[in-house]
Amino acid sequence: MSTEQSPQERELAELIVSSLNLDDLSPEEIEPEKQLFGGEYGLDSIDALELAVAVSKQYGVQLKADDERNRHAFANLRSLNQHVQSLREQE
Amino acid sequence: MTSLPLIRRSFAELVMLHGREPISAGGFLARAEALARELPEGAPVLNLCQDRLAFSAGFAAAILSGGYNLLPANRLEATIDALRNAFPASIVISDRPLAGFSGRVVDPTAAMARPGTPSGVPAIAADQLAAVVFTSGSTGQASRIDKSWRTLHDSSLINLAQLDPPAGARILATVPPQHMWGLETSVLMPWFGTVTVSSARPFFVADICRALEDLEEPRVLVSTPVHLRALAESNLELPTIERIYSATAPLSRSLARHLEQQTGAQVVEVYGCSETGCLARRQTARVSDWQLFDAFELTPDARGVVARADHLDGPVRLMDHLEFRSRDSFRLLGRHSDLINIAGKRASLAELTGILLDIPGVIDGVIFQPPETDAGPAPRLAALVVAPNLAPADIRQALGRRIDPAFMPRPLKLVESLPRAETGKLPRQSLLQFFARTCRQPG
Repeated sequence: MSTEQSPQERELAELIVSSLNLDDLSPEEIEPEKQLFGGEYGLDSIDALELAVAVSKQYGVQLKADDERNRHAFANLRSLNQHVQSLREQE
Repeated sequence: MTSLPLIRRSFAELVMLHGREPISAGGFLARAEALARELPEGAPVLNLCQDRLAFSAGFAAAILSGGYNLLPANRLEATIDALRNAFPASIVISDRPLAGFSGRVVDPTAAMARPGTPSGVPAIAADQLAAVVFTSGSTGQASRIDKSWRTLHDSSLINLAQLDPPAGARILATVPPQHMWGLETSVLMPWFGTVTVSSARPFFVADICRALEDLEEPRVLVSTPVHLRALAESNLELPTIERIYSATAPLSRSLARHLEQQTGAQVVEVYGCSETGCLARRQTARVSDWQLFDAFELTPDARGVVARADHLDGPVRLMDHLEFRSRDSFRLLGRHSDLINIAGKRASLAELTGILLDIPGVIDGVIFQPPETDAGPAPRLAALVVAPNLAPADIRQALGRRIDPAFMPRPLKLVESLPRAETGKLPRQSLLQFFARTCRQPG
């Protein structure tokens, strides 16, 4: 698996940094397969909530945590991007 | 010896909805009694259940077995370990496996699946210790607040009278059951008033919306400004809500107005603290003054304000500056400067800064509350750190092991030095000016 961000992943990383005011982290520093929440990026559940609102505004899709698969989507940048893209296709 | 009932509902009445399964008061008691038989008599119980029904049954079971509930300020491993060391006889209840945990864990699932028939409403000694609430999230040394059954029983009746939820309300809570706000509303309220609580704990806005749609009217939402702001910003179409209760942090008037227009609900903001429970309310969209609950009396003195009530063990000094409008109404003027409250968790800025300074490689630093902006109070703390050989990620990682995520400072900026006065003090005014300049610089 690539540790490089895809263009879509970069776009999502930029949204994460801007919507959560992570001004000591730059978008390209977010590694696609590194734990996004509860790890060394210092993101917690309140950030997840705010990110979900930002994602709904930018991509027009609603994130949920109502089943195991949806919760797994938040593991890292790559899984979150895949989840957002698959929700967009269902629209 | 005075005793008070564990619940004040008829056995046939609905207290909870577990998914689509209705849980009657009798069914709830049967589950709690079955679980109580699994607990050693009189033991302190550390209830880590995620599911609200399992948590509620566990909470009742601890009291029924003559023991009491330990309610930690957070679920960090270090906090749980410290609590188990402080209460060696404690027993853990958890509805899911706990990683890296060696002690005995009672899983409530099996006991709750075989409820018997309750013979009657159990009577609890009024002075039995029912819960121990720990407040400070900033260090391992949390302050301890004891709650007798009389306190929890009476404050539940007071809350019902003062918050006056619509009869037959279906309550959805976005808050966890183990903090005072969630405990008072989503655990205890249905034991005493004609309300039914959903066991769901929805997280994202879309989950909240869906969970509300699943409930019959009249709907009541118990939440916090953080969740409510996300709800307002989402532009999702929400079902009709009769009442929204918000607590744990200040709710802005504009957000309260927006929510009232969006949902048709009356938005009631509730003020209180772990020591007193809920003690005042206001309809934030319309008024600035807080209405004190009848049962409480507030007395100003030289150091601030003291709250008293018959159902509390003693007087409680409030953390806030209050300005009285009349004997039973007041305005909140803000917190005493060192103490902060984020998402219902409390910390002392001095203690947090102490933890930062303990990190090897940190030469100087400060954690503080950034100034309020047009959008309201800053949602996060900020940190300025002098640590020439560390990266921000190192500092975040070291902090993350010892402080609750709610207090994780952001931004966390590395600087060459802090604008200390000659005395070594860090005046707030120069700190804020320095912070504003630092934040304008890129990187």
